[in-house]
Amino acid sequence: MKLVTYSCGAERRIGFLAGEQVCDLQSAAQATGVTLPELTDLGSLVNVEHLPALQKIAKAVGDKGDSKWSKPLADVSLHAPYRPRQNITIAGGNTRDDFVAQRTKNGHPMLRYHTKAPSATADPGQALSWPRQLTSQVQAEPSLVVVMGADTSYVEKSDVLKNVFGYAVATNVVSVDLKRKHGQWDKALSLDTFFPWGPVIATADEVELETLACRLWLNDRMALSGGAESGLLGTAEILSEICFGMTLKPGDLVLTSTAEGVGFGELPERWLQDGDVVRSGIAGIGEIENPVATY
Amino acid sequence: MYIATIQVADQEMVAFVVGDQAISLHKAAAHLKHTSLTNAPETVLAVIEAGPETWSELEDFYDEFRDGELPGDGQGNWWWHKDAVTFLPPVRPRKNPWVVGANYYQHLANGFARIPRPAIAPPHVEYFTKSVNSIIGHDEDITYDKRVTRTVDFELELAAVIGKHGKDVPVADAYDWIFGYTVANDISARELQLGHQQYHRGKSLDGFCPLGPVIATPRDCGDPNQLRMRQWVNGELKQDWPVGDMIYKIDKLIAVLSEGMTIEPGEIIICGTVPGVGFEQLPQAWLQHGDVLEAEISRIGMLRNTIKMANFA
Repeated sequence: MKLVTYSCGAERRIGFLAGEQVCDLQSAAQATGVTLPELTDLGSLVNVEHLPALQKIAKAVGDKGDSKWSKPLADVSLHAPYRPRQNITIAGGNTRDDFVAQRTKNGHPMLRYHTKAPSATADPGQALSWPRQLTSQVQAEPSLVVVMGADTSYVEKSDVLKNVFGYAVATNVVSVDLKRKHGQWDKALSLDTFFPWGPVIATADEVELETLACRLWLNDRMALSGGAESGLLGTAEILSEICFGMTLKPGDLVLTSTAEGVGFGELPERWLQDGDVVRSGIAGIGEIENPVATY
Repeated sequence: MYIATIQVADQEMVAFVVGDQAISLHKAAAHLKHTSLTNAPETVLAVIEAGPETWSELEDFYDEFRDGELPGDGQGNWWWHKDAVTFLPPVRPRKNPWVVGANYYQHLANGFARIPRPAIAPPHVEYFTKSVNSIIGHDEDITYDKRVTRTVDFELELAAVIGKHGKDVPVADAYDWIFGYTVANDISARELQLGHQQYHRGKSLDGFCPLGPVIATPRDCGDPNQLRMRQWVNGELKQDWPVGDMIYKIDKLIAVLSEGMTIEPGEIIICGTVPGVGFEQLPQAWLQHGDVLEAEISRIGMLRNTIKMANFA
C-alpha cells in the first residue's frame, strides 16, 4: 500500500493511492470491513501490527476506489507523511566513494551517524528556503527513508527488516559550509525546510530493497544516481548496528543510503540557487519535487 | 517555580516541587477549588507550549505553597514527600536535545591533553544531538551492554529549556526565549563518539540522557551564570565549576542555533560540560556497574542515576 497524508480543504487526512486516485483510509477500511485503531496522523498508523489490515484493504480496493471516498490525485494536495517524534537518524558517509570507506575498525566502516531535526520537515512542492547570509553552499542528496514500525533493540541484521513498516524517499538538504563551520553536522542539516520527504510511504511488502536506486534531478537533468543497497553497509546492517544500544521506535526515521558522488560533500554540480527545482526519486516508491527560494 | 513530571502509582502528573514536597498541580487545584487551573495543561510540554500567561498563573499558584505547611490530610492525596514519587523526565521534547561540545576552556585543555591538538577555543559553536529515545529521569538506571561500549563517561551540564517559537533570535533578547533550566548528564560512550567522529551515536545510547529532576524557572533559580555545578561519583567529587564559565554563553547558543532553524517550546539546549570527566584522567577512568552519579546545579536540583551493566542478548 502507498500511504499518503492529503488534504482537500483545511483538514489533513490519511489516504492511500489506487491508480490515479487517493482513497480515504478510514472510509475505505469501513467499506471493506477492516477495523483500524483511532488515528491522529499517519505517524500514529506506522506500526508493523497494522500491516495485515492495510494489505487487506489494499487488496479489496484494487486499483479503483469508490467515488464516495476517493478523489482524483489532481484534486488533492499531498503533504509530508508526518513530522517524526524525534530527529531523523542519518547514516553519514555510506557511499563507496566516501572517505569513511578508508576509516574502518576491524574492517568495519565507521559511518558518521548524525541527525536532522523534525522541525525541518517540508511538504512536496514547498520551497526550500534558507537565509543567504547564513549559508551559500547548500546541496541536495536523494535518500532512502526507512520508516520503523516496532520497538527495535538488539536485533540482528537477519531479522531487523521485519521491524520496518515501510520506505519513502527524501531530499536530504545539507548546508556544506555550516557542516564545516560547526564541525558536528546536525545543525547544518536542520534548517527549516531541509527535510522534504514523501509524499508516499510504501509499505515494506511492496519494496525490494536490492532493486532500488536513489536519483536526484536538478532542473530536470539527472545529477545523481546510486543503488540504495550499494553503499558500504546495507539497510539491514545499518539498522542492526544502530539498534545495538539505541532503541528505535515506531515512527522513527533512518536515512540509510544516498547516491554516489555526495561523499566528499561536493556534488559534481554546483550549489543550489534561487529558481532551481530539485527532484528526488526512487522507482517503485515515489518522487518529491521542491523549488528553491532563498531569503 | 520548580516544575516536574512525576508518577504516583500508574498516574503521570505535572507537579510543583516545594522543598521536600511534590504537589500535583491538578489534584491541588481541584482540592483547593482553583477552578481556572483544574483545566491546566496535562503535561509539562503542554504547559510550556501554553505560553507566558499560563506560566505566570502557575507561578502565582506555586507561591501559595511556598511558606507555611501543607495540610497533613492532603498527603498521599494531592501532595507527597518527594521520596515517595517517581520523577520522570521533566519534559519530553519534540526534537532531539542539542548538546554543545567543548564549551569550557579547562575541559577543552584537559581533554586535548589526550589528543595532540592545541587547546584553543572552537571558532564556532559545536552542536550535536542526543536522541529523544535516550532521555531518562531522576533515579532511573543508565544501562550499557559491553558488546556496544566499555568506555562510558559522565558529563554534568546545564540544560536550558526553550519556552517559545523563534527563528533568527537576536543575542540581546535571547534570554526571553527561556522557559527554565534543568540538570543534564551527557553520558558518553567515548570509543563510539570518537570512532564514528560524528558524536550522535556515542551520546545517544539508551539511558544516556538523564534529565531532571525538576525544571527551575529563572524567577526562582536566578541567573544561571551565577550558579555552581558539581558532580559526585560514588560520593567522590569529580566536577566542580561555575556554570557561567562557558566559552559561548547561553544567549549566544540560542541565537546561533536559531539561525535559519525554528526553535520550539520544550526544545532543550545542553550547554557543555566542565572539567573532571573520566576522559581527562590519567589513566582514563570509565564508569562501572554500580557507580552512582549525583549531578547537581545549585538552585536547580540534584539528578541521581546508577550505572548498570546489562546483557541485552
